[in-house]
Amino acid sequence: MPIRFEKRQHVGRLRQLAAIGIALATSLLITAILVYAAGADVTAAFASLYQGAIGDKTALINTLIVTTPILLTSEAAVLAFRGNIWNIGLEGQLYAGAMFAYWIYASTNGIPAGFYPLIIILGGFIGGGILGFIPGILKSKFQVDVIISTVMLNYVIAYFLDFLLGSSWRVPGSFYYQTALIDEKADLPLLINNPPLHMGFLVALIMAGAVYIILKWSRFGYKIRAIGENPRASLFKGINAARTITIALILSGGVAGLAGAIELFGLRHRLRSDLSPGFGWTGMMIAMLAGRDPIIAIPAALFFGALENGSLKMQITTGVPTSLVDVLQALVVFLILGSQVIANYRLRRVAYEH
Amino acid sequence: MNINAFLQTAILINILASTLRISTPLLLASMGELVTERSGVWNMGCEGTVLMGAFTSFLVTNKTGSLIMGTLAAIVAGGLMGLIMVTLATTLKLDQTVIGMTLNLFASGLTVFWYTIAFKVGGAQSYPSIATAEVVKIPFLSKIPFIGEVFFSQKLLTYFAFLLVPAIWYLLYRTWLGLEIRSLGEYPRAVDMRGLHVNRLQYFSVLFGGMLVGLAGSFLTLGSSDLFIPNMSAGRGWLAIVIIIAGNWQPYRILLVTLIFAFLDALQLQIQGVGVQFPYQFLLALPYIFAILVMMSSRARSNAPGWLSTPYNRED
Repeated sequence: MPIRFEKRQHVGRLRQLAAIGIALATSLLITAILVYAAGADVTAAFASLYQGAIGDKTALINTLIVTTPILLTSEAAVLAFRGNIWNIGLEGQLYAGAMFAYWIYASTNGIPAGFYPLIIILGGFIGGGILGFIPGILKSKFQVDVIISTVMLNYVIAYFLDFLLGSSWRVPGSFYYQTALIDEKADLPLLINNPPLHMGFLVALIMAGAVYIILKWSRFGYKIRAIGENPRASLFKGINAARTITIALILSGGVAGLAGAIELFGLRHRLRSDLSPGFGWTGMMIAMLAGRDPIIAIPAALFFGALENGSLKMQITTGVPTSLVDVLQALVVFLILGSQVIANYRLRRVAYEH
Repeated sequence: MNINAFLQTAILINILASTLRISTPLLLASMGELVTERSGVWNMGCEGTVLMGAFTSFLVTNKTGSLIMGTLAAIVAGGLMGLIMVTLATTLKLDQTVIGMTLNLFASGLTVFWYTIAFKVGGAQSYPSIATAEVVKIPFLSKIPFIGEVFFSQKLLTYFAFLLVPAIWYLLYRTWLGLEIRSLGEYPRAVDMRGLHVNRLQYFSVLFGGMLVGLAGSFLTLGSSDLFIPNMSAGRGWLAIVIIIAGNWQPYRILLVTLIFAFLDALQLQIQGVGVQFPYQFLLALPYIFAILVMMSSRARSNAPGWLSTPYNRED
């Protein structure tokens, strides 16, 4: 008798969780093989990864700091992806946010220190929003595919930043393409002093809540979901798709821009072209992993943040390069998404057809 | 002939020869991606596949000293990337955009990781390098003034890339297999009803396409740079996708668009080399800005496969 895949009528929560567990275990197994291939002690590597991620208070706080930009970019991704608006220009929008906030900071010398958090947050949001607006207009007026325009703008903004860092923004006398250190009074306020945790994580959590509320309760959120779930029906309901997509891209870009501004004023204190090692891309993976759910994105971002943070210690103690974590993250996304499909099916012996 | 005219001819030859060289990876990648897309799968992992091809060919050539082995490695790696894509897209019917982008990140992480452990880089030692492929001058033809220097003094893969365009056109429009692939992307139900294997055909197309995209990556290392640099694909995979849309999914139009892109890139390289007083970053950004402009003006998508990036379900 042949064996056949058959769709289940009902998929239990337990089965879904078990599938996630198996997917995670498989990705860890593949990662372990890679560590072994790198010639390192597998248990020592995982132990140091764990220690570096959540081993003590300092490690935990650092995990929160590392999580901040990727939680923000993942919320930015969730906001757009929910409407099947593939904004993959988060990386560029992140830089645009940091650049705009820096520009305002640099051109408003001597304002009271209390204004700076506002400048950082508004500047970051507006900067990212502007870069989100461009693909929005390109889509609504010229039918340019959002994926293409956002990817291309990533490169354009990177060269623009490089130009600014090489000319007017460059710190005088420096060999490097970088700005001067940002004045201490403009640093993002701290939530905890020792070890220091800037307020960015709190902002990221608030944004997660905001994205949840927008998507679930607002008219605009309803329109985004309608476009994502059934573009044809949304047309009949009289939803102005072009307008909704443009606004979604502005908001999504704005949230990504926040990530850049917060990273700059909270952690780096100096704008360079390596501000983001790919936070935009990591955020997208988190959003997909979380099934485009703004609340599930929080633990998913914490998981990815813990891996990123722990990988530093792993590299120092065992010599396994941090890029291992990038591979692990991609594997987790593949396997978890795949496992959710497989959990929907079952193998059954069936009689011959015909 | 005075010296000025001589210099101008030399510059022109240089720009045109560079145009063909720059076209090579773009043509290979867009032809591979075209076959993939024609079968109904939109492989957004194109960028990552180019990168994997660049890295694996560099790694294998560095370790074995053989360009042929390196080229084969890129083809195999591209095929494997295609295999991941098609398994998740066709068998599991996951969202193709999501898998494609994750594939890019996977490639970006894996190449850096592998590069670090294979060469133990870091610290002050010099970067590993390879001997790149030699220029192959076609006998007699390369002796023709001007034309010979532009067209017949290129690397082997460049000739292959340009011959590939009519070959892919022939495959898609003059063979049964090509007809089946195109029908599959257009309306899979028809292919299914004819009793053909939808999945098998899609697996073939995506694997074949992935191999060509991987081969495109090999040109970045074996054909141009003797070093591997993380994320050295630098958007070429994405450009291939833009080129296909701008070329309206037709091989010869894709060739034309590729040549325009490559010419622009060759031009900016030449301007940079001459040292014109102009911020070089704007020149570097030019192809990407041009890509957006191309997309703004090419709204006709009459030849886009009807079921592009939509999984086929027999039960639906």
